[in-house]
Amino acid sequence: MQATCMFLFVILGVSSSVRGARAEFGASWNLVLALDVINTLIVLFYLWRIWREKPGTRVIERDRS
Amino acid sequence: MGILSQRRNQMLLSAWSAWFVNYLDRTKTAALLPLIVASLAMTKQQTGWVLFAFFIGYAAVQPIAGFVTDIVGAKKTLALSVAAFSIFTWTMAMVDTWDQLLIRNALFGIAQGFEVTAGSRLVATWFPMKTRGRAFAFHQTGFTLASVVVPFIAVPIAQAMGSWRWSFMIIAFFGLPVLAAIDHFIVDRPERDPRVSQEELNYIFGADELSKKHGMVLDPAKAHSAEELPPGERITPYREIFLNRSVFLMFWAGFFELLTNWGLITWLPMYGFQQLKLPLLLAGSLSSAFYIGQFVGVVSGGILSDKVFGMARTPIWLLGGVMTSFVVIWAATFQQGVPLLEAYLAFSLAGFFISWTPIGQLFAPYLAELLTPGAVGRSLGVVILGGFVGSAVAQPLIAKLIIQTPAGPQYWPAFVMFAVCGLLTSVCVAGMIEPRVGRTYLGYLFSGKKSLARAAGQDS
Repeated sequence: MQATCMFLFVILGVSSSVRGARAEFGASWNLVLALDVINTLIVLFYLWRIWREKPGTRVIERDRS
Repeated sequence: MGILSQRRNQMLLSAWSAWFVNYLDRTKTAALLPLIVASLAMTKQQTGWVLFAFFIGYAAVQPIAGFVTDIVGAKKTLALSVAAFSIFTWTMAMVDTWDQLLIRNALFGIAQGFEVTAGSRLVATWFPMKTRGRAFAFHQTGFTLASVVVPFIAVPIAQAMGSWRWSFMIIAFFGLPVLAAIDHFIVDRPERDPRVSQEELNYIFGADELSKKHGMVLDPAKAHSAEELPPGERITPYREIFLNRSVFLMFWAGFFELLTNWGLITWLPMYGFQQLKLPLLLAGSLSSAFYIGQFVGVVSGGILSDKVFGMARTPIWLLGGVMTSFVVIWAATFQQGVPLLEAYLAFSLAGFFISWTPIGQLFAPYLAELLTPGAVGRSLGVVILGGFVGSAVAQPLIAKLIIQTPAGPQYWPAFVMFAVCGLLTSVCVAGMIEPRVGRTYLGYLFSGKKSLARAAGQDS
């Protein structure tokens, strides 16, 4: 989990300096990290679903029906 | 079975939700700005650069966004936009310095810039001309409503959780149901969606159009014959899109309109506080009056265009620019002690009439009818670019025009500039071809309503 968080943070350029944010979030910091990972994974899931949809597939389905 | 059983309305509601969350996301930064400035110890100059970064990111990406929308497809472009701004929103909760915020705000602007071309293209493709004005008016209510409600969402979250960062964290999740709706309800074209009934296809394209032979070339600039294109499209070469007098004039109309729009919205609370000597809360409420006026303007403009002006779009814009000038000149006379109700009325009317201009409403129906729905993304990218350049230059221009007097700052020179911009918007619109009559709308009126409709779109 920690590794996934760090990977995502490096990719998104967030890891450079989050001391102030960490201080403001305080005890909720781990919850914040978990929420960020969940948000990003869901976003990537939908993006993957939508982008793999081939144009024209539904036209063929329509013709067959 | 209600109105939502129609696939086109499900698509419209999904596109609306993307536009609503897009605006909620972008306006929350302004609503939370006092807290962010204090938290990151930002100077006024740094704050200005952070806000400028969003506009520049948004403007710069418009021509690219238009191409991506038309070539890759509106659904994928819309999903890309919502996905990107959902992620950038939570990364903005992590910033520690103003330059980190600046970079993320620019990226955020780029991500958000892809939404408007995609949403517009979808409405233009899925709705027939007779209801396109009203459908797009509904789509545009997304930005007016979001602007009104954002202080009641972003600020209470920050207050309840003790930090502005939580507002960003929580609002980042608002994009997820929108992505689910895009995945489930949006298809680029109606005839490609197996859930669309034959009856609905007949409604969208007309039985005559559907009975013709159609092909699979989705780019109207690449087709060689009408038979290669899907229903509702016509061959539109690049020359006709980019060397088009009406698109060129729309670019400039957008420049003058958004200069006025964003100039007023940004400076209105400061004007109320400094010139009218209103308490800060009441000065801020002038913006709410402006947004409420915009909401009513967007809805009424779409209905009037479809029902009263016989699907002509430019008459609404002609009136909008001129009336904006009158209202702004009226507001320029206000001084300390002006009745609050009079100020509310003036600024709600300003919002109302500014929404009756080419980037406020009806731009997707207009470009679809002037060119073809398949070229809306590319042409709109050019037009919105003009508008956002106007938004960016508005800020330093207004700052220079405010006069310092012993009684305090006076804003009337800026208001005079807004009035001139309103008139220039109408002048640009007066030169644009009205597709419904095939000539400029004033030309149509002065010629005794002689339509040249067969020449529509041939004005390049």
